[in-house]
Amino acid sequence: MDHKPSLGQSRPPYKLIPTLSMDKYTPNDDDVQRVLGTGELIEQRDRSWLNVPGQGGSNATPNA
Amino acid sequence: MPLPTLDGRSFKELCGSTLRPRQFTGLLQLWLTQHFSDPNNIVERGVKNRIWTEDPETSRIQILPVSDWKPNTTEQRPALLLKRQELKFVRYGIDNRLMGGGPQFSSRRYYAGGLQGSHTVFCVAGEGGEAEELGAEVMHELLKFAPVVRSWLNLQRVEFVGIGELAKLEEASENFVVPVNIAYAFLQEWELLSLDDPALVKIVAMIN
Repeated sequence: MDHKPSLGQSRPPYKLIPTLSMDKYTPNDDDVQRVLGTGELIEQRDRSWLNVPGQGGSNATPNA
Repeated sequence: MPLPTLDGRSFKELCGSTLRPRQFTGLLQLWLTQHFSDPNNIVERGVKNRIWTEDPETSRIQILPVSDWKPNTTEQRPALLLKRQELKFVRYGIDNRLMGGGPQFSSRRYYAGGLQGSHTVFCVAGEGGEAEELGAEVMHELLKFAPVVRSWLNLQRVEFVGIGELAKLEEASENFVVPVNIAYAFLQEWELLSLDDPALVKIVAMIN
């Protein structure tokens, strides 16, 4: 049997705006990794290690 | 029309030679207070009068770590609340050791690994529209000056991640919030020095 709401009957509450708790909120880890580009960081690491005393050439370029 | 500026002279002093997790919170606070203390820096029209001053009684906006926030004060003025998210260690090599080269019998051992983390700026205001405009203002500031700050601090990365959707704030339900995220990465290096007694070592930490 169909249920037809009568005039004046309350509608279910609409949730147009979500809630956010600062306590629980964390950014999406995939987004963080995407902008940081871990693979490129490792390449930078390889270059920077050339600067460590006794580990490579003294003419190595600054890292980062 | 004056262009937004950022003075980085105090940034390096703040962080010293080693960046600690809490220091990026202070760095962000310094960055954003400097931005909001000059109306010429503020681009979004709706928040152009939100000038930060050192006196909390007269400041038109609060900029502080989320741990220092008192919810009742947001009823009087909007806030930018800074929260440090997780800082993760990323292994770059076997045993985190720097391999190859160097003196064969050196008493020094060199190590390095990556640290990657992020911070969230919660833009809180009593009106949804103002929270959105604060979010946009913070987004543009972080996005545009991130390469400069990265260079000043000699970090591997400082990158704007994104801006979240408008939401009602659970901790103070009369307020709206827009989260803005920024991520960073840096190389942590250290070396172990063997002392005269082989069982004794000393750690020296460095940052690039």
